[in-house]
Amino acid sequence: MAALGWRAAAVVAVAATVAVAAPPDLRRPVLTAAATTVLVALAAVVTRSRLLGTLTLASTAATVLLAAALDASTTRPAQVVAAGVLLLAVLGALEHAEAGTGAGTVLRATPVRRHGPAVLAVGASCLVAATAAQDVVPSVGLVLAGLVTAVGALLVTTRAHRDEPVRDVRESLSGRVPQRPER
Amino acid sequence: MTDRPEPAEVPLVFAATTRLRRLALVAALSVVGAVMTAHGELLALAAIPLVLLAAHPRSRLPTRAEVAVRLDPMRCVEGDELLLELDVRVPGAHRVDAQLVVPDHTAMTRVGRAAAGSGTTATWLLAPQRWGRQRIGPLRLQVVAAGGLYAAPVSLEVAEVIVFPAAAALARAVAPRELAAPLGEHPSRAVGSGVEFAGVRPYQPGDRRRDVDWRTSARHGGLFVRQYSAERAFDLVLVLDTSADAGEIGGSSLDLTVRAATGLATTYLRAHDRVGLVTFGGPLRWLTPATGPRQLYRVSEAVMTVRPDESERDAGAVRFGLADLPRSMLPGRAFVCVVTPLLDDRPLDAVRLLLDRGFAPLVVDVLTSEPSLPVPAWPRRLRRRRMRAPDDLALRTWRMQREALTGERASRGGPVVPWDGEGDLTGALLHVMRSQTPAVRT
Repeated sequence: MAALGWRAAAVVAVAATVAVAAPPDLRRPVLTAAATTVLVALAAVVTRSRLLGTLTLASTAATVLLAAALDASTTRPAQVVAAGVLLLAVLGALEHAEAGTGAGTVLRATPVRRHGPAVLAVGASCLVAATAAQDVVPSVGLVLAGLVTAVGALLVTTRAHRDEPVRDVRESLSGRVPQRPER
Repeated sequence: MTDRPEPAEVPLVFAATTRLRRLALVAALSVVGAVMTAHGELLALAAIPLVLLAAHPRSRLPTRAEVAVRLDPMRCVEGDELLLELDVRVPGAHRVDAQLVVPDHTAMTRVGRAAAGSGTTATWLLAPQRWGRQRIGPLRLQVVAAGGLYAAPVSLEVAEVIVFPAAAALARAVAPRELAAPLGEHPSRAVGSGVEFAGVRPYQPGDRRRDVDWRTSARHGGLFVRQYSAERAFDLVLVLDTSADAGEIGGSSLDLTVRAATGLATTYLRAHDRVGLVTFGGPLRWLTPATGPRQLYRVSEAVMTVRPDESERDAGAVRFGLADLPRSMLPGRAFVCVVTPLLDDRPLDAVRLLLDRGFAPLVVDVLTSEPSLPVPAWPRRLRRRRMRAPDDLALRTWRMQREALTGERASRGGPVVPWDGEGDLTGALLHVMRSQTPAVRT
């Protein structure tokens, strides 16, 4: 029963994300994307395929982006943040729906450690949405600052998940570059 | 409870999970969408996965886990409960999942877990339902860290437990009247120094005064003394036919064979009798009759090996039979009990051989089921209703063959006692022991 519940929760979360992001007057591309997303979500929870699950998540995110891009004037920052939170819910529900029933959890981190980063991420999302909603005069400095922030965030994220820690250039070359023999 | 083993340090090798890839995908899609459509507010969608990815760097992953597994007890009887405890300690872990692999016909119940800081103790109750050497494990752990972005699998070997067959219940150890071995607990026909009253006889010089039966002496006007039965030991040889294992697992012919053997051995060894064991059909093995708790342990260990392992199955049929058994294995006046499913001629040959050697064996038939017929697909099933199927004919032939085997055995003067694992064998044993006079041994 628990597995069925998680499957239903995944589909409901996908539908809710699409519904939250959709503008008041639905356009055909958004409607098509939303319907496709829900269908893919249904296929994912029925087959419990990880590939279809990933496709569901990508399709949901793409539908939110499409809806916001096509009707930017009616999209409110709160809608984007809510869609982001619901995307997290979709991610969690899909993981539970895809998990097998054989293993049981014997150790779990404290609730603060488990949910703290997610709360922090939602806070950061709110901050970004609020900043984007400000009426500011575009300037070169502002654009540069935005670019630097975005590139910095991407760099930090990718560095955090490298396979090996970045070492000094000389250290990384040692052993691979032939050394001159000492006299 | 055994001593707690020292926790072992297990290195953890982490790999990225689906969650990490999915978060990266959503972040990349959102950033590309925001840049392409020039809508800054769409970066709010990217902020959530980016922060989650940045908050859990790979460098903070734990490198080792402290794990200890213990299973208690390591030997049990079918249906007994074993306690498996897992101590795991992984500082910085997000979650640890455990999956225990148990053999077939082993019931498993998760009792609970007691968390203490970054460690926990999880407990399972296992109840093996079938005898044999059972391998418990491996215990597969999945250490999830960095908010679920990385996972490391750990496989732990647990133990091999020895599950002894449950002994069949026998009411009491009955024995024949003619017993040869001295120093036992069974009253025999011979007069001796036991406690069971055997009769009275006239007083002779040298008799003990306390043996005088005063009431009889007063009645007959002369001195009479009481006599007592001598207490002798009894030799029981269990002959097990292990050539086939037919029937449902848990109640198959081999299961019933080992349970009957264990039950008989337990009952008679408790009465300080001597018990021996012979297995035929598969590899010919024997255990010389002996007494004492150590012999019970030997018998239990021996019946554990009656199920042929893979190498023995691959080796094919063994050409040694009961005729190759050393004569010392079957001492004079031993009672022989053949436990067999009576599926072919080999048990009859064995009984014939025992009769030729002068024994009057009791045959216990442990086959409780008939061969199951394959259920045909529905068009064939319809055809089968119209005319008698060859499967039915085969089953009837099989039944007739078994009846012929039982009849042939009965015609030689020995009963075949069917036993389904529940009944009491005392009556059958008593009947055979008291009614048959052993022939002259050759």
